[in-house]
Amino acid sequence: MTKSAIQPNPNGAGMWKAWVLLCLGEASRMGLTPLATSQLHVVLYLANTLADLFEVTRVRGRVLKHGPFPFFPDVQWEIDRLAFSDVLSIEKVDFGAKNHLSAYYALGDRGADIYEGLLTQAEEARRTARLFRELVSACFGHFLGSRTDIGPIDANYGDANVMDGEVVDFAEWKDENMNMQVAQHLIERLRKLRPSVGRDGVRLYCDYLDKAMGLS
Amino acid sequence: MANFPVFDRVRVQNYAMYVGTPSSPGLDHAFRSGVNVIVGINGLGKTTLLNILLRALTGASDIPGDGGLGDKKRRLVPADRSWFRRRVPDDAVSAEVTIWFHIGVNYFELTRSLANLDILRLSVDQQCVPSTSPTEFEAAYREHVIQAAGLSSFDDFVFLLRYVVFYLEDRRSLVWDPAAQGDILGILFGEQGANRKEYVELFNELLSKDSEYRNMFAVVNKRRKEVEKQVGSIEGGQVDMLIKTLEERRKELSELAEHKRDVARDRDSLREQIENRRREIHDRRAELSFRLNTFYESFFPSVNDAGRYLLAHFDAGAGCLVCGSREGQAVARVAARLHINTCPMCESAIENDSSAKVHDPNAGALIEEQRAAIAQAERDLAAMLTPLEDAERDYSETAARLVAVTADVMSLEQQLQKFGQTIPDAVEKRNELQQRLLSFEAALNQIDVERIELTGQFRALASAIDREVQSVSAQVEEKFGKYIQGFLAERCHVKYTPRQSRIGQRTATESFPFPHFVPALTSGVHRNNATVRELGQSVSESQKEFIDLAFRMALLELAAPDTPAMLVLETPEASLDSVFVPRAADLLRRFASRTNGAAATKLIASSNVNREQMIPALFGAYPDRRFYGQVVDEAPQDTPATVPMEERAKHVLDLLSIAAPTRALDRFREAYEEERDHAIYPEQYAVASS
Repeated sequence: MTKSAIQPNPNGAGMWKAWVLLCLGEASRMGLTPLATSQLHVVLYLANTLADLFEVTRVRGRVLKHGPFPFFPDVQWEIDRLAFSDVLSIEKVDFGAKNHLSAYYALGDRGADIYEGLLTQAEEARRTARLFRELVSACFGHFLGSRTDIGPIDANYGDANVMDGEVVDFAEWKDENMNMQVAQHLIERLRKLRPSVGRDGVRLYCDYLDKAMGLS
Repeated sequence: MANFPVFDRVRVQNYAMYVGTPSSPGLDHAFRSGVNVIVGINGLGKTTLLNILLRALTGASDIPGDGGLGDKKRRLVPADRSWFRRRVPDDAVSAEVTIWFHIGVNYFELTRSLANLDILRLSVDQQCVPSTSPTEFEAAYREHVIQAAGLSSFDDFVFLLRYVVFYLEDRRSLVWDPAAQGDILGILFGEQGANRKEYVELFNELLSKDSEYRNMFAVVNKRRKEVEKQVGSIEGGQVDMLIKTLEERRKELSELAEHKRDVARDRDSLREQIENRRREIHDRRAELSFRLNTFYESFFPSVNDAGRYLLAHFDAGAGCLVCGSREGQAVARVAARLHINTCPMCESAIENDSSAKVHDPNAGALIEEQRAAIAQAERDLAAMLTPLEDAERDYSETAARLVAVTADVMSLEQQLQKFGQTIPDAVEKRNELQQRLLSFEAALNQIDVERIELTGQFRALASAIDREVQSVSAQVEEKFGKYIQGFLAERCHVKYTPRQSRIGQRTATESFPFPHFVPALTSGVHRNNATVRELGQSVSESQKEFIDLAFRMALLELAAPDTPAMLVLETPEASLDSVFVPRAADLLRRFASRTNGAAATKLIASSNVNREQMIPALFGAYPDRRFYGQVVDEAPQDTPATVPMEERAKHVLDLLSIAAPTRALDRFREAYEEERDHAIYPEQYAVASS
């Protein structure tokens, strides 16, 4: 094994791959695949912002504010690599719009095995899978089936204090992750009615996005 | 120049010690010019009478002087009012003393109670001074005395009485007490009035400052020790160290926080730039892929979406999505094959040869531009990665250090809090002690500043007095020489040598010039040269006393050159051996027989009826002239005339007749009276024996 092979990828490429696999695995179980590039990035972003609700360690706590939805350019490379490594499959490619090249990803043959292996071997993976299960079901039942432009509505990404071209940082300090604050706020509002509402933070936040996007 | 008091008469009434005779009860005596002798034996009240004379003049006030004047404040202190009352069985209820005396041209008649020394009556120049209370009498008396004597205060008058006029049992020395001598010279020869008053005030104030400073210094030292003790104690030391460490840690914390903010700003800026470059690269590649897709669609119509996606990414410079390679050579190889219309994988001819449809030169140029832009963005990105890594590492290390120091600070605060709980207010106590010390040190400095200010003023006055005394010093030396000649076997003189001395007990203060004459005399070991003998103990007691008397006489003669003066001595023979009696008597008679304007000068001496022969010697009736010749080196010059026998009774105040008799007198009256007569009229007995 060479020295470079054992060095961890500074951008958390391994974790990203696992997250992509778990995300598509959960979507696949619900029959929601293939997921378009934009859908995949939105779910990955939301998973990072709401990871604390499922006691999951986020992979990245910041994203460049650019365009209508959060997008991780370096992660896209890893996704495509997975696609051409038979872990994922590209069902179709939409070359339609200028610089909005979009592929549709599903779980490949090897991917299904790796997904199962992850769930079997790691508690963190199971927690992450539960997070994605909650997110995929909450998002696709609502807005994400038809729209991915959550940018102006999302509490972090839509923060008016962050200009286009600046980085949205929601990891440095807990109180700067406004998605979590919204989720907590909603939880507290409903706690009297439903004492066990704590575990519904993801769904509540996605409901908020859905409703707010419906109004926009 | 000062005027000195000269007694004319004294009368003591109703005082049990002096019963008097049936025809003349009490004591009533007029002093004559020249020698006056108070004759008595032990216990008849010689000392009491001299003290009555002194207290009649001073009242119940005195100058402190036991053991030398030294650094005592120059002001009157209360004298014992009951001194005379305690000496008689009836508490001196109705006892009083009246004295008639001159000061310069003014004539005083003053009556005091011997029970408490209050003034009962006072007249000046035959005019009764009206008054309603003893305090008012005393104030009026003092005012008249000050005027008459030409002094600046009554204190100075008492000073002159105690150190020049009266030479009593306590033998206050003038020559051998430099402090007293300095003041007397200042009073006699310094400028009187405001200057003298200011001089005394400044002197006393400087003494007060010295005392205040030393007291405050003691307090400061005590406080300093308290602070040191507190800091030096185990608890104090620990608290101090904890506070010190805490302050250092807090400073470090603040610096770290600032550094972290700076690093975070750099890091965030780099992150933002990198994210933007990444996004730019991605967007450009997506656009490029979109353009390239038309090539692949026409070249490889049967290749599916994923295949074209793969090829487009590859051609756009993103690298191979299959193997992950991003090497430029691979990209060039594929591009070359495409350029010659062969498959980049197997080099087979392309399926569709209608190349005219797809080869758009303009599109090619745009593609190349995009590629160049992507390459530039990638270089930019690569250049930013290392600085970002550095910034992130620096940030992480700073944050870790910040956490560690924060933990340290919290731990130190907890430890301090623990001390606060176990030793209440340990820190407050330390601060309070230090604060108190600071305020005392400030007070100490203030005292010193004030002292320095006073020092300047006092120095000017002291120097002026020094110059004034200096101007008469030669005369003092000459007059002293006149009186002392023939008294000592050794040659003796005084020399003006201003004394540099500090005021108070502090050693680190400035010294001032004080007028001072130093006596010098030859001794058994220094026959030829006079050596300075500044200290009283370096000469014998008898020498000391008569050097002192000669010095007083010199001062009196110089300060009152053509006016009468007075000296009051208590048993001058007390410390003399018999050889010195005629010498001492000569010295005293020389003073008592001043002439011209000073002719009324009086010498009042008490003496015991004994065989010391002081009484006849004072009258100049020393019986054995041959012996006289043997004990006085030089032939007597200007020796005053002998007091004629018929005059002598008037010059004697005979306590054997006046005083309440002691048991010894009752028993041996006849013998004592014979001894008295023998002393007063020795010639009669010499004639009788011859």
